[in-house]
Amino acid sequence: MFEETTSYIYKQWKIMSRRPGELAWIFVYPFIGLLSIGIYAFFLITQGAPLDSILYVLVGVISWNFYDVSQRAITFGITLDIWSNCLRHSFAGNSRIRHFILGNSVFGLISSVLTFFLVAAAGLLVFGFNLFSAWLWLIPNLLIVFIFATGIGLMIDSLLISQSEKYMSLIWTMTGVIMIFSGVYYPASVLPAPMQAVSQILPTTHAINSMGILFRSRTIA
Amino acid sequence: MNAIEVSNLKKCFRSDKKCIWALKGIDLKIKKGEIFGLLGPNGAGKTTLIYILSTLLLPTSGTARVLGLDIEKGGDEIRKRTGLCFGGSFFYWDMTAREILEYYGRLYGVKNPERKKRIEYLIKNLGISKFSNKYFSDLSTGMRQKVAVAKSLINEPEVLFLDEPTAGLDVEVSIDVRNFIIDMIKERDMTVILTSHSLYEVEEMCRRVAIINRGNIVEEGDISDIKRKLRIPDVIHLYLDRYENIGFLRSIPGVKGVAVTDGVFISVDSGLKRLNSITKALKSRKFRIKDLEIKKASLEDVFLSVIGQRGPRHMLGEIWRENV
Ligand SMILES: Nc1ncnc2c1ncn2[C@@H]1O[C@H](COP(=O)(O)OP(=O)(O)OP(=O)(O)O)[C@@H](O)[C@H]1O
Ligand SMILES: [Mg+2]
Repeated sequence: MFEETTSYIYKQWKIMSRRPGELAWIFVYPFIGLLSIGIYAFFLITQGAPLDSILYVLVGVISWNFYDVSQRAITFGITLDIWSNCLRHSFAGNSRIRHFILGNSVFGLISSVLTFFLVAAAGLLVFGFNLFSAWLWLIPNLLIVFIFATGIGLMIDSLLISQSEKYMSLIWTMTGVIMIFSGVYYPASVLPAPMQAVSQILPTTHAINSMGILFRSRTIA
Repeated sequence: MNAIEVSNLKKCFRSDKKCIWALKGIDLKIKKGEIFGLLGPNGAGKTTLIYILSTLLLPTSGTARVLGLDIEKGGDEIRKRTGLCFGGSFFYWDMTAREILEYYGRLYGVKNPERKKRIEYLIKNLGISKFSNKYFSDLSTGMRQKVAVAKSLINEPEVLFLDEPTAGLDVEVSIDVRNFIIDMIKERDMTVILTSHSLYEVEEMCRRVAIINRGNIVEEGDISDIKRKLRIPDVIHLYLDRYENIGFLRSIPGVKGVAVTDGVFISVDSGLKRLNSITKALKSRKFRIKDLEIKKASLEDVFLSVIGQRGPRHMLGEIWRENV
C-alpha cells in the first residue's frame, strides 16, 4: 500500500523538480494571476471601486490556484505517462486505482498548500492582508476546492483512458469554465440567471463565497 | 502444470463500425518454466495476444488463464505476478535509469530493503552501472532497452512477456540482454513468452514456438518437430575431388535433390541420419571428400514456408535436380 501510493508522489516530484515549466505551476503562475488581477483591482479602486475589491482578488487567486494545482496533479498522473509514451507500463504494475488517486492527490494537496503559503505570504507583504489569521475557516473551504478539483481531474482521467487522448485539452478548458461559474473574482450573484443555476451546484462557488464573506466582514470590522 | 492456457481467443478492433480481427481463435498451452516463442509477420497479432494475456486489453471472446487465473477476473493478481517488456520502450525523459527502476519497484509494491537489492542486482548484471544516473532522454536505444528489461524483472515475475525485446539493438547488446534473460530463467522458475523478428534469437532461446499469421496459429510445437513435419530439408554441402557422374546420389534413401554449383549440395530429410550412407556411397565409387558441412534447416526456412511467402532456400531441390 505505502510503496504503491508513494510511487506516484516520487514520480511527480522527480519530474516536476526538473522541469521549469512544471515548477511554474507553483512558483510562477499564481503570481502572474495575483499581479495581473491585483493591479487591475487597484486600477478599479482608483476609479472609485470599493476597497474590498482587492479581497476578491486575493481570495480568488488563493482558491483558484488551489483548484488548478490539485487538478493538475491528478490529471498529470496520466498525462506525464502519455507524454513519455509509457502509459502501458503504468497499468501493468501492482498498483490499483486507489493508490493512483491517493498518491497523486496527496501530491496535489502538498503542492496546493505550498502555493497557498506563497500567495498568502505575498498577500501579506504586498497588500498587508493576513490570510493566515483565519486558517481555521480556510481549511474546510480549501478542502472542498481540493476535493472538487480532484473529482473533475479524475473525470478527465477516465475520459483520457477510456476514450482518447484528445480529451487532454479538458485539463485547461475545464479549469477556465469552472472558474467562470464559480465566481472566483466576483460574487456569483452577478452572473446571468441561467449561469447562476449552474454556479449554484458547484461546490467551489460556495466554498469561495464563504471565504470571501469572512474576509470582507473582517476588514470591515 | 500450464502457466498459460488460451482457448478460442478472439479480438476485434473496431474502426468505423467495422471489425478488424487481430486474433481469430487462438488456442495455446504454455508450460511452466518454458521459453515459448511467438513468431509471425508484421500485423499478425502477436502484440495483441501479449496485451490480452497481460490484461492490458480485453478479448472480444474466448478465455485465457495466466498462472491459473482468468484474465478477466484475475487482472490485479496477474499484473502483480507478471512482467512486461517491449522493444523500443520509452520511460520518463527526465528521470534517471535508477530512478525509473525505483519508481516501478514501488509501483509493484516491492518493499525496501528488497527493492534496493533488486535494483542494484539488475543494474550490475545488465550492465547499466555506467549510465544508471543519466537521464533517460540521454540514453542510447540499447541503454534504454536494458532499462526496459530491468523494469520488467523488478517484481521477479513468474511469467515474463517479452515483445521484441531486442528490436533495434546491435548484436552485442542483444547478446547481453539475451544471456541475462536466459540466466534469470535458469535461476528462477520463470515462464517466458518471446516474440521476435530475429528468428535466430527465437531458435536460440526457445524450444517450442507458435507461428501466427493473420490472427491464426498456423503452426505450433517443437521447432525440430515442425521442421520434420514440414519436411524442410537439411542440406549436406560437400567439396569433392571431381563432380562427374554423381547422379547416383539421388537414389540414396532420404535424398531429395542434388545440385552442383560451388561444390555439391545434397538436400536430405535429415542431415545427421543420411550423412553416413552418402559418404559411404561416395567412397565406394572412389570419390575423395575434401570438405563437408551440414546445413540444418533454419527457423527462417520454417517461417517463410509456413506463412507461404516464398519457398525456403533449402527447398531448391527441384531446380538442383535439373542441374545435375
Ligand atoms: N489499437 C488498435 N486499433 C485498431 N487495430 C489494431 C490496434 N492494435 C492492433 N491492431 C491491428 O491488429 C492487427 C494485429 O496487430 P499486432 O500489433 O498484434 O501485430 P504484431 O504481430 O504485433 O505485429 P508486429 O510484428 O508489427 O509488431 C493489425 O492488423 C493491427 O493493425
Ligand atoms: Mg508487435
